[in-house]
Amino acid sequence: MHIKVNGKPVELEYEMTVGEFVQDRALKGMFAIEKNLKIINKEDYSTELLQEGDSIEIVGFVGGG
Amino acid sequence: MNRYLKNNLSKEIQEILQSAKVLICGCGGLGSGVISNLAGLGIGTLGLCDFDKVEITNLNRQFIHKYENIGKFKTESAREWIKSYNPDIEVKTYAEPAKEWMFSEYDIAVDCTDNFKIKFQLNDFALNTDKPLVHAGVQGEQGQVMSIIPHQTSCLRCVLGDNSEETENSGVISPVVNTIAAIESLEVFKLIANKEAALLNKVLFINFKNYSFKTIDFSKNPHCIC
Repeated sequence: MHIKVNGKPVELEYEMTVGEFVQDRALKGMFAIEKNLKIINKEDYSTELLQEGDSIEIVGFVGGG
Repeated sequence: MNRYLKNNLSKEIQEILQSAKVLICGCGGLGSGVISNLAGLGIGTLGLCDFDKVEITNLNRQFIHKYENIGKFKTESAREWIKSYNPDIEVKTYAEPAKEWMFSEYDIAVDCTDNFKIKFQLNDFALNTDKPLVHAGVQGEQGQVMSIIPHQTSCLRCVLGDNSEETENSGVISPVVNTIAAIESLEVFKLIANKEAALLNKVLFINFKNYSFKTIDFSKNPHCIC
């Protein structure tokens, strides 16, 4: 399955949820995930499925001041 | 009023700014830029909250703090700068961590702090006191800004959930932090003058490496405590 992550093509071995994608890529820190221009609430990570052609943006927040 | 002639604002708006009270939480990198911008705009009362003292490592970017003030509380150093720049501004200082009661005494609060634990605290103080908050974070070549009108627009917890994992905070150069501070200040201005802001229900992300400005919509999260 092919998706785009931050504008770059990525191949996923199997269909997965956003939560599994986050685990698979070991994402840490303060971030939000936008799927097809819509922010996915963290509560929905475990049910939101990634599908062929989806475009994912991982948006990192920084905490310095 | 000649002082503000080049703001090119109506007399009415300038008077609104002069009667406004803004609490600035953090008088470091973001705070220094916000303080100087809000002093220039003519905000009537500035509350300054920070328990840190001026260190030599601050002076690469915190231009309101002078070399001779190393070792002084940042709040006092900032008060000195404001009074030398514009003695008409009323300044209140709090050399201690931000508290909820402080929010009650101001119209708007500005998050100029340097870690997520406190950023979430400020978010909750804003919710509990129903005071608008302008949030920002900056590190390296990145920064973000969002404005929050409690209970009406999305808050920091809507956007990030409840985990406040700390991120890297190793430093930033002055043009980066001062640009983010300028946008925070502009949001404060919009909230006071127009009762709205450009970054409600959205976050502006700036990557200074390639000058990418991206605004992402964050609607209120139905699972959020706000």
